[in-house]
Amino acid sequence: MNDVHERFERLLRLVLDGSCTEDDREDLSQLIVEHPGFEPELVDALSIHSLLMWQSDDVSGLMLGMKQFADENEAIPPADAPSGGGVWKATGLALPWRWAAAVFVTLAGGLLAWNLITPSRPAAIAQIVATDDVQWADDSTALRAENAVDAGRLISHAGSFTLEFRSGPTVRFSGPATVDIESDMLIALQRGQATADVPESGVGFTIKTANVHVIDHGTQFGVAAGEDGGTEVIVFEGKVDLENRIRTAAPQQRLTRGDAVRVDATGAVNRIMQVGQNTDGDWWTTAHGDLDNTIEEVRDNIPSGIGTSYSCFQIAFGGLDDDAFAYADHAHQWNGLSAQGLPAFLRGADLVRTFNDYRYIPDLEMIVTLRKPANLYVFFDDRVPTPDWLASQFEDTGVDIGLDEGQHELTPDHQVAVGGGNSIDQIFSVWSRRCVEPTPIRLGPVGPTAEARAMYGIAATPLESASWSPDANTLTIGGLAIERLAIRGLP
Amino acid sequence: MLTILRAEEPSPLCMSKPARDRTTVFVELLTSHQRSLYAYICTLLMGDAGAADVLQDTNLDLWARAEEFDMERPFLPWAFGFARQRVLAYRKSRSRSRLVFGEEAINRIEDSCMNFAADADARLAALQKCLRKLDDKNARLIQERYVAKSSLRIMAARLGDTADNISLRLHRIRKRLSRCVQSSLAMEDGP
Repeated sequence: MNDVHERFERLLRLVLDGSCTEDDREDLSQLIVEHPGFEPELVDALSIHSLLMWQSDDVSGLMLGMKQFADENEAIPPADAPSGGGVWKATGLALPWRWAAAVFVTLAGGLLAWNLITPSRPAAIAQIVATDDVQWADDSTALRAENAVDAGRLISHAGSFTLEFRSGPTVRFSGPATVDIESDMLIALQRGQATADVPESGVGFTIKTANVHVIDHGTQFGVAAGEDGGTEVIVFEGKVDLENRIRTAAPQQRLTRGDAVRVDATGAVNRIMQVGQNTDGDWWTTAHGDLDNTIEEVRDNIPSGIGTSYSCFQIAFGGLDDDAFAYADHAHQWNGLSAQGLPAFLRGADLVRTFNDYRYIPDLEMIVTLRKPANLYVFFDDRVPTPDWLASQFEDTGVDIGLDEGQHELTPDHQVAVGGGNSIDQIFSVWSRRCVEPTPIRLGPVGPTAEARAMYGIAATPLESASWSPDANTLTIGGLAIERLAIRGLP
Repeated sequence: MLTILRAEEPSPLCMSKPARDRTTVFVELLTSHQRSLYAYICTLLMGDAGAADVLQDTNLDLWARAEEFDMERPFLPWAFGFARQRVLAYRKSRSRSRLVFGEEAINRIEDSCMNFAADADARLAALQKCLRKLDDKNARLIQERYVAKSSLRIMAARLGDTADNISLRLHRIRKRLSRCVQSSLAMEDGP
C-alpha cells in the first residue's frame, strides 16, 4: 500500500506541476478507480490547485469578459415567448431571434471571441493593403476588384503582399506563397512564409498547414510551410496553440513569446534554435546561409523536449537601437542612460535577443559564431559579480547602458517608456571583444550567486573593411590578404 | 469581429419589464457562478491547461439553453451538467484511442468535486487569508509557480536545488494551505 501511495503522490505532483505526460494522467486516473481511498486527497489537492490557478490572470480575465457581456447584452427572450417571437437586429438587418448569435468578448487572457451567423456579408474577407513587387499567378481565384480578397486561392511567384482581414488580423506573406483564404478567421498556408499580427478582436484566428493548426490567442507570430511538408512556427509576442494534424493524439501545445518549433512531415516537433529578423520585423528566416549580417549563429546547451523549452534566439539584423526588445521572452528594452540614447558605436549592431529566464541557470553555455570579423559585445548586469569567462575574454569598455523593464507577471505595474534616459530600471556594463578569427566564442552563465539579476545581452558590429574568404582561410583587412597561418602566428 | 444584437422593438408577446428581469437574473447567475464552474471543471480535468477553454464552451452552452432553465431551481446543479458534458467531450478529443478514457475516474470524484465547487467563493476568500500567513520564502514559491508560471527547472536553478525538491516543497505548501482553508471554513460555520 505504501508503494502504491508513493506512486499516487508522485503522479499527483507531476499533474499539479504541469510536467505530466498523458500516460501519467491516465495512470493517475486508473489509480483512483482501483484505490477509492485516495479520492479525498486527490480532490483536496486539485481543489487548492484550481483556486490558485483562478487567481492567475488568464482565468480571472473571464470575469471581466462576463461583466462586459452582462452590461451589453439583452439577448434572451422570455421563456414563454412563442418560437420565432421577438425580433432582433444585427447591424441593421432584422433576424428571428433563434438565428441570432451570442457573442462573448474577452478583455484579458487568451480566450476566443466568437461571431456566429449573419445572413449576408457585403464586405470582402480581406483587403490587400500593401504589395512589394508581387507577381500574381493567373489562377489566383481569391483576387477581386479594388484590392479585395474573398474565399479562394492566392498564389504569388515572387515579392510580398499584406492582407488586412475584416476580423482584424494583418498578415504579411513573403516570397513565393500559396494560401487558401477560407474565412476571415481561417487560412491554409500551402507554401511560403506568413507573419500575422492579431489584435484582440481577432483572437482565434488560425493559420493551418499540412501538418499543424496554429490558433492565435492575441499575438504576433510567424508560420512557414516548406516544400518538404514541414512547418515552422515562431511566436514573437503573445501566445498560440499548436494542434498537430499528423499526430492527432498528441495534446495541443501552448507556445508563448520567444518559442519556436519545426514540425516535420511525420508530425515530430523540434526546437528551432534561432530566427533572424530584419529591422522592420516583417521578414524572418531560420536559415543561416546567404546572408550578409554579422552574427551567423547562436546556440545553447539547454535540452528541449516536451514540457521544457522551445526557446528560440531572435537575431535582429542591424536591430540594436533605443527601445529595442532585449529578450525573446520578456518585454524589457535596451536604452541609453540619457536622452542622447545608446552610444553611436552600438547603434545598428546585430542584436541577439536572449532569454531572461536563463539568468539563473548555473551550467548555461552559449556559443556565438560570427559571419565576419567583428566587435562582439556583452551587456552585463551591474548587480552581479563579473564571471571569469567574461573577464578573461572581454574588456570592460567603461560604457553603461540601461534596461527598461516592461510588464511581467512579477512586476505587473511596470511599463516601458520611449527613448533614452526614460524609465531605466537596471544598469548594464558594455564589455567588448575584437574578433578577428572565425573561432566560435563561448559564453557562460550569469553566475552562481543568488542576487536579483537579468540575463546578459549580446550584440556585434562588423570590423571595418575586414572580411574572411568563404573557406575562412584568408582574412582581408584594408585590401591586404592574410593567409590563415599568418593570422595565428604559426610558422 | 463583434456583432451587437439588440431588440429592434418589443413584440406584443415580448413583455419589456419582465423579459429584462429574466435576462438580468440569468446573466447574474452565470457571472456569479463562474468561479464554481471553473473549480469543478479544473478539478475534473486534473489541472489540464484546457480548463479555461472548457469553461468558455460551457458558458456558450448555458447561454444557448438559457430559455430552458427553471428559475425556481438552483442554478449550479443544472450548470454542472453542461460542464460535465464539455469535460467528457474535451477528454475524448484528446484520448489516444479516441475512446473516452478517465470517465470512470470522473464518475468517481464527481460528487466530491461538486461539493467543493459549490462553495468555491468562500474557499477562495479563505485561501487569500491563508496565503497571507505563508512566510516570505513559501509565498515567493507559490507566486513564481502560479503567477509568474515559472517552470520547476527555472525555479530549481534560481534556488540552487533540484526540480524534485521544489516539487515536494510546493506539494507541502498546498497541503498546508488546504488545512488552513478547511480550518477557516470550519470556524465560519461555527460550533
